[in-house]
Amino acid sequence: MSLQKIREILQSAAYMPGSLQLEIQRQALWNDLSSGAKAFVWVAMDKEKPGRATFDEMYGHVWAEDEMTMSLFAGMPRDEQAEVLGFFTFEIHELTHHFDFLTTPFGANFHGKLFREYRAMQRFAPLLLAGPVPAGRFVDYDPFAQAQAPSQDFIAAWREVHDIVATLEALGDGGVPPHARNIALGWGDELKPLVLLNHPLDRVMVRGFLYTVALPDEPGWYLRPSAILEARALVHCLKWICKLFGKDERARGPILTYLESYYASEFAAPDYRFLLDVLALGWGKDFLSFVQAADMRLVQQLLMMMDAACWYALQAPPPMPDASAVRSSPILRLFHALRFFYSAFGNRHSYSHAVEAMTAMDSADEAAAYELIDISQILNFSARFAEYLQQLNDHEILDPVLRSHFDHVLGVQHRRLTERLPKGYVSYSGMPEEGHPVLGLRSDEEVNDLAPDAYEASPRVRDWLSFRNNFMYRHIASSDAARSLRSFF
Amino acid sequence: MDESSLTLRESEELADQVAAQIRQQGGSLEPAYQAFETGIAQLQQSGLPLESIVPAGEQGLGFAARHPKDGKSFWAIYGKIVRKTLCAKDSKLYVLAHSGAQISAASLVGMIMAALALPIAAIGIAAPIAGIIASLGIDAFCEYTEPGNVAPKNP
Repeated sequence: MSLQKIREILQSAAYMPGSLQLEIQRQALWNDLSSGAKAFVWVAMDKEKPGRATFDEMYGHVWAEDEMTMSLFAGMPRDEQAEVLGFFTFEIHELTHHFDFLTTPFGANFHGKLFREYRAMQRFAPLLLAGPVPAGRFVDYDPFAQAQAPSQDFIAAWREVHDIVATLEALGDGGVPPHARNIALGWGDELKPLVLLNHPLDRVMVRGFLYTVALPDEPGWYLRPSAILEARALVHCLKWICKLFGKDERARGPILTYLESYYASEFAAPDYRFLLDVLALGWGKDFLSFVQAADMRLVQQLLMMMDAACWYALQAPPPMPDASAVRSSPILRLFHALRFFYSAFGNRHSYSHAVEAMTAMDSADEAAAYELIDISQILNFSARFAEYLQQLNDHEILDPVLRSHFDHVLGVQHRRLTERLPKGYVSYSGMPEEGHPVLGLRSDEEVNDLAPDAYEASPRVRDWLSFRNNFMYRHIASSDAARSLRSFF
Repeated sequence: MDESSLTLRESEELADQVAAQIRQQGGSLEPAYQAFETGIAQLQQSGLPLESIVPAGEQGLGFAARHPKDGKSFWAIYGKIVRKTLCAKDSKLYVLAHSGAQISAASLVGMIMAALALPIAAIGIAAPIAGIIASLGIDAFCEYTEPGNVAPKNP
């Protein structure tokens, strides 16, 4: 019963990328641990006094190095083992998202679009409020379907918002797949399945620009950036569990317990395991079966490959003037990286570090087709992109609270991307050795920008982000939409 | 309207059927879960994603976000939202509950569609919700919601 409660609490835990907030019912999580799990937590943290655990207490111990901790863990029922594994990893999962959104070109693209959407709404909302707010989701709203032809100003303002929202929707924002009419089978005339690591997947094109693949047995779902983000977060947690259990055979049982307790397909969204399953299918098995049977060194190698492939994917830049949507696609970069790693593994071609492999990916034969360019050019463009939007924000956003929020986010991104510039793909927090991104922080400036408690978004910012998530993608009452729009604009 | 969607009349009949079946089965919600699965399929046939009818807060990426796979898991997520909206003290359902009127499942369908701002393609989902509320009674449906959000049992 306790594990079910813990699972429910952890299922409600979330990182809110728009406001940079992490939401977790910490006290409830602690209160609802079973007594056996609580006792283990005290021992594992080597905690002497009550009170909130320090970072060192939570993450400063390797359980495999302490006989008592290992013996206590082995003596617990499987459900209690799952409870403590969830307790010690949920923060790693959410922090991975936090770092990914603030330190990568993909994050700059995402936050840039959130900023530009607000800026466009600042222009469009007064025009919309001049008449009755239409029923239905804004992302599906068609002003040409109205009886009375809208003005040119109205159409231009609507189009600006709509194009940004439709792009965000395709990228997975809102957690709502697009209307089925916006997901077309095939990539243009190419209707044959895409073969990824010997596994055929249906090609789909979303909103006419996102080349991706359908997820088997999941109507309406397709591979989207959230799957990349979730795969990385899960991989970091699995790497951490590996570390806790000595990075050897002793880690196999806990990893299986963890996957079966929190990521079984009957209750977890497909985003979490889809990519790991795809990669493991290269060895003829789904990921769970792979972990059950493979040598633990190979399991860790697969985790490293997935982490690096997803990191490579997240370096997809915001749209660049000299390139098509292909260059900005994290999905196409991911396909390229997965194939590259799999082929290198098959050919027994080893690289001293994942970064060396990524650099080789950029100059592979397929690079031209993917419009790949040097990582330093991508980072330079992305940093300047964030800086430019910061200036626009300063001059054009009227609401001081929202302006301050965008200034913070874009400022952090500008600094982090600029700092990454001489290092290219190298990032200790982006590809943390043992899974915990905080342990990859190397400077006070990084801590000031990226510590989870470094920034708290204003309630007005959170209200806007909450409203726009419903207004853009979900069915809400027109009267509620109008009331909220009036309060923001 | 999508051809696969129910008409209002059909959905009202379905709501009454679901309510009767729940009563016959001693309060088991199994008949509603089955009806939800049909309603979800109808919504998806219209092209709309199921998630589009579920209000949310700010978009988040979670540790292990749930994914409704069937009628039961859908209601586990959506039921909380429905109760929060319908059982609020300023809701029409609250007024109805305290009017003393006899309420049929059929009569609730339209009110539920409006209160939850559901698109017409989701009428097959509104019907079993009406069936659940009518079979349990509004007070019983709302009383196990979190205190503060709901109509008190004996105001």
